[in-house]
Amino acid sequence: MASQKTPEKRIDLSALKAGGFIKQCQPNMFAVRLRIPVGDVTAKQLAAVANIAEKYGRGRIHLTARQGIEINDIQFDDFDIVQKELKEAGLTLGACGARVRVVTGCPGSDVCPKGLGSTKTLGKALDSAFFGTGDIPHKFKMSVAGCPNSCVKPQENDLGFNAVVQPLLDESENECISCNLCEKACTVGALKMVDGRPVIDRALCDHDGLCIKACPVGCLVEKRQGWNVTIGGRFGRKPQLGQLYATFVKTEDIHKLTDAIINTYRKLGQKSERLGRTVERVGMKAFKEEVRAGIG
Amino acid sequence: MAKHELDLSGVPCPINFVKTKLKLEELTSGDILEVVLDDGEPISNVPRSVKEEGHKVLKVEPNGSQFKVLIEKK
Repeated sequence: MASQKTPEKRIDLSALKAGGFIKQCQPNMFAVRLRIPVGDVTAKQLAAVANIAEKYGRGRIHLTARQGIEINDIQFDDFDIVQKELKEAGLTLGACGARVRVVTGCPGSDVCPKGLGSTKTLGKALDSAFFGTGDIPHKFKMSVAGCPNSCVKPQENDLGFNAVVQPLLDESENECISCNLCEKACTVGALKMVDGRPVIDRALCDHDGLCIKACPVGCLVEKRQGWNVTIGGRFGRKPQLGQLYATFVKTEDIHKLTDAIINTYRKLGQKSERLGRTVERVGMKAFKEEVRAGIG
Repeated sequence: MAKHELDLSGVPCPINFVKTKLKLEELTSGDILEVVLDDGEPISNVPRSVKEEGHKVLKVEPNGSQFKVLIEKK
């Protein structure tokens, strides 16, 4: 007996997946993945998500490992209305497949006292510029961290950014009181008190800003701020951490660098190969040369 | 200028900062407050936080296994 083919059988599931709809194991059920750059969402948006989950799903929502939200149990017939209601709440869909994914970020200097840079500003700018970029060998993940504590695990990503600062003793406005709290704060032994004043060994300093943060009078200041860049991190079946690619890259130079790295990945990468494997295969030196050529 | 004392031995962050802040609010501008803080997170965090509130940290000195911090109220 000929059975009526349901619309589902004619859906190109791979195309749907690119747009943030992920097939669940139940028939005709999909998870809708949302785009939540740096994990920031408003109360109004969460209320809209809850409403959609209850109206069209089964009230189940999943928080993903990369700061995303997935609304479970959405049926194919409701895709359009769900997208419409999401759009009304200022929410769009995440990415899947061989595309640049949503950029993750820790709270950073906008919220966290340890933050050395605005991860929200940089993370949102990177997401805005590069999210969804395709025609690349495999998925591409970026993350922005505000300090070496790396709460958001930038080294696990294809491209990771970590805020760094260079400390400087400046007594022009505030005199050092020789409290020794800076020496106490340094975890790498780069700062020693000499004749009651901090002396910093630049070769040992890892630019985590702990001395600056510890100073109770404000005589240790930031001489410069930037981002360390790691490249080639991945998890899954063959986890590896990203390698240090560049240090103290200025915020205004990050966009060009990221663009050149993605283009180099597109040019030199082989199909289904993560960036880390591309760098390993062609060698960091050759990869960097290609990136530099791309920046011009 | 009167000198006041606050012993925050065993008080964890951020309660120690909150108590210091509240005590300072009770004082007159220019008063000195001497706070006893534990080693570790308390001494690493509180002096800086007090500075950020606008008060002046005059001195930090070891006191056995703890620290004494002298603060001038803004």
